[in-house]
Amino acid sequence: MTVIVADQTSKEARDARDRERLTVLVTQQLRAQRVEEQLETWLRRGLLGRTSPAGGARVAIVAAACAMGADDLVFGTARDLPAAFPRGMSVETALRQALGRDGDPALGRGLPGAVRHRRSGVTLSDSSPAAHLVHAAGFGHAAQLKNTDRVALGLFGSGAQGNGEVHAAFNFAALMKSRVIFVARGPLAGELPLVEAAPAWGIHAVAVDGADGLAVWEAVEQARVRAVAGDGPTVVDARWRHADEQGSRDVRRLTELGGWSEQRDGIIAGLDAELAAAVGAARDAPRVPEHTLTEHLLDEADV
Amino acid sequence: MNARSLNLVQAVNDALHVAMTEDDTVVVLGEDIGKFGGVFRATVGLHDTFGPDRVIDTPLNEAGIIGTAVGMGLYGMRPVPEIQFADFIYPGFDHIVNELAKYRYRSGGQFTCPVTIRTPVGGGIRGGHYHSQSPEAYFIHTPGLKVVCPSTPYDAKGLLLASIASDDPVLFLEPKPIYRRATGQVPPGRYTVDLGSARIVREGDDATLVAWGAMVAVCEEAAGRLAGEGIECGIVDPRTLWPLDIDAICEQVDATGRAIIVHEAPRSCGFGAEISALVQERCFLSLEAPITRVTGYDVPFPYTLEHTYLPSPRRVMDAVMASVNY
Repeated sequence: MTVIVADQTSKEARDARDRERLTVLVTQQLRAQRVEEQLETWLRRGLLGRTSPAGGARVAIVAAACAMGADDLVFGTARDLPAAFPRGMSVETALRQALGRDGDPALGRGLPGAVRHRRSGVTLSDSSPAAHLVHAAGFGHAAQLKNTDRVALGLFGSGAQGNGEVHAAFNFAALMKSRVIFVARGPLAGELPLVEAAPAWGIHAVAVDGADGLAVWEAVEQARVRAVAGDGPTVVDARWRHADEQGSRDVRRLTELGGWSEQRDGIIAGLDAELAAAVGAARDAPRVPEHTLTEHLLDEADV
Repeated sequence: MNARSLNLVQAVNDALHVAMTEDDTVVVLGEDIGKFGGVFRATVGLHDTFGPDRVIDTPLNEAGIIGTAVGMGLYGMRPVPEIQFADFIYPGFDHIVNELAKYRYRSGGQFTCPVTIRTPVGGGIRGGHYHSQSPEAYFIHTPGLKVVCPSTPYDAKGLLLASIASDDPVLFLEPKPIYRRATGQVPPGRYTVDLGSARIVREGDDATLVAWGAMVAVCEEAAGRLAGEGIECGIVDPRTLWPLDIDAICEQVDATGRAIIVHEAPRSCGFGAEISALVQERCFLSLEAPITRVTGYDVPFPYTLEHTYLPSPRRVMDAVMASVNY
């Protein structure tokens, strides 16, 4: 059961904060959407082997990433690419990564979208759908042992919930009071909602509307406060049951608050220009050099 | 303080004490490794000295143990997970092969995972199928891992301290049949044995034996008996199985012209096959006889017939004689 302390700030102050957050959310959603559409275009042209678009899960992914601190580490899969942009990774880096071009910090070694970008605190996997959740539990456990305010975010979808790694991650995280937040995003595909399942692990869980970015941001923000206080991990279940629930409600809310119409054209023009420049730079970039094939296998100082 | 006589498992314990005393990012975790001190007593005393935050009893879940260690390594710690028996490592295989071994490479060197996985290997303790295996070949076959297997207490301590200090993931295989049988002088405090550096156990002009872990003692016994018959065998213990000190092995084989590789694991695609290929690529013109392997058989590790399965001094002697008489 989640207890939300009544917000003591004035309605005007809350609206101002919400407008600010919603502007960030909508901008980042649109940025990620443009990148995903570009990757789809390249996929159809045969330039990519595959893509993993987040689709409607983009709202929750972006919002969860926005709620995290600068020194936190985000664990996810290629589908969680939208989490990288709020944390500072550029669109150009994402496109270079997808094409395997020079400028991908991981040297073209991951499938499109599965970025690893230490500077932004993002490590996205293209292997098991859930192994990274155990890593997130371990990272959060180290933070708990060191009593720092670093927190791990583990993003996952319904495809992972039946995986034994989810049990390992939740079990270890709960027992160790790991400073970790697990966020389930995307459609609920017949699994037990995690607010019903999580008590079996002794793990705190909340359900939130995954199409409401502001609500996800606040839920993850509260989970982060719990984690840093040493109160243990939280599961935020931001999945939806029906397809018509997946559209973002954030633009409508921002419009209601009077913060969208005057910004809209400028934001969209800026995002379009950013994408065009990034596409050109990525296409023109050389391929990752062949000599990197054997680099970074082991610590070169030791071999 | 002077060196004192320790057995191999005591040397492992001593190394863990030293590493944890010197570096508070070193933690150990595993099944029953805390208050109980580990099923083989390798972690005894650590819980009392360093407390439950650094000596962590975990659920019985190898994927969870290794996966958690990966995350702790990404944070900047140096976790030393223990897998109670190497036979139990397979539930954590995905985390070792697909995650831990690849993290540095997969991220272009941005992230490192300095995790040292300790696990007892080898048979001859009446452990049957699931407490006797020697799975080194699976992991040597995985780029991005270092694989270590000591045969003496001195090497066990020095190699373990070097492994924990390494920024790479290390699979540290401890030969449990000689945990208590192998004894020797071990200096106090820190010293390291370089990873990737072989040990010449014995010099000999007639044939070169290559062995690691518990098989080194088997080869020493065989070499001692053969010396009585006028045949002098050299023995090379790679100590680090990967990266392999192939130069040290080839130097010996070039001198003797004969190589016999001895290991407990099944013969086919065992590490002996790789060593054999490397030696013939480099020493072809020096060889006086085919390279020979003395290994376990291509069967699951047996319970009742374990001493039939395991390479014995007699089987090693026969292989040497066949090579010498080729």
